[in-house]
Amino acid sequence: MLSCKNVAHLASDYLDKNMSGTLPWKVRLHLAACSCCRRFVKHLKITKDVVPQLIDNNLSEADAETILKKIKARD
Amino acid sequence: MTKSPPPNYTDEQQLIVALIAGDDRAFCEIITRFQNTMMAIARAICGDTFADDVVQDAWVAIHKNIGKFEQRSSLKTWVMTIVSNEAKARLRRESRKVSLDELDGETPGSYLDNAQFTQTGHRTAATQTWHIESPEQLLEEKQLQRCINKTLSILPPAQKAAFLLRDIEQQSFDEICEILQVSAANVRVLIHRARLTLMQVIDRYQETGTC
Repeated sequence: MLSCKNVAHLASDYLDKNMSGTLPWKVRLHLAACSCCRRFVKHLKITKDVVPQLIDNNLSEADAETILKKIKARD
Repeated sequence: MTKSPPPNYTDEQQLIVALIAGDDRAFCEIITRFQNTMMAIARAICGDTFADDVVQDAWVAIHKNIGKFEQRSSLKTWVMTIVSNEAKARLRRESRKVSLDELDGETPGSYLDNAQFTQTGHRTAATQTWHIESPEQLLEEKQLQRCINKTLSILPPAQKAAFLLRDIEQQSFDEICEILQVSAANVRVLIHRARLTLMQVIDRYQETGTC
């Protein structure tokens, strides 16, 4: 049976379905028996779903125009 | 530059057509969308010193070659591949070795720290309870948003690049391996560690209401 430490290391692979063979089943078996790891994986899933929506990864329009001017000056 | 209301490029094909036609607003649009992720890729591959130059060289190459874009990949993948190639070429020219050193060891206090587990791998303490678990409610928390963006800005470069490429830009694991030139196993580790660091921010926020 997997340990909590194993599950902590595998949690993203589990959520991303990046596992093969019997490993997903082993994780599920551990989660069925361990409420701490269930909560840990649940929180990681919330993080994975929510954080991308909280991140502002776009540049401002003014900064983009400055960069375009630099590019054109080098063309 | 024309100051009429900017078109809404929600359709990639419409954006590509405008780019190929030499539309400056379309080019500003892709700079707005991709600049930060491109900087993260360049920093991850060749370090802070050269990242600015590399990204600017990549933009010049994109501007020059956009007319030849054959759409064999998405525009995003094409752009990310160009900055990745520029960064790798720069690294070779400078004959420097930049290791993805954040792959080594665990950050003390992280969820994967050995101190969090007994010798048999059981948790030494219960996982914290969150009083806000609803995604809708979490999205309303402006202070949390500031904390997340602040933490993202200080993530180790390779973790940040892998995280942005996967969870923000939705690139496939294979594409990320190619762009960052790391193995699939390492990409997975980088993404996992970035997510755990960001999860720790939410943990702390739930407990203290601050970063």
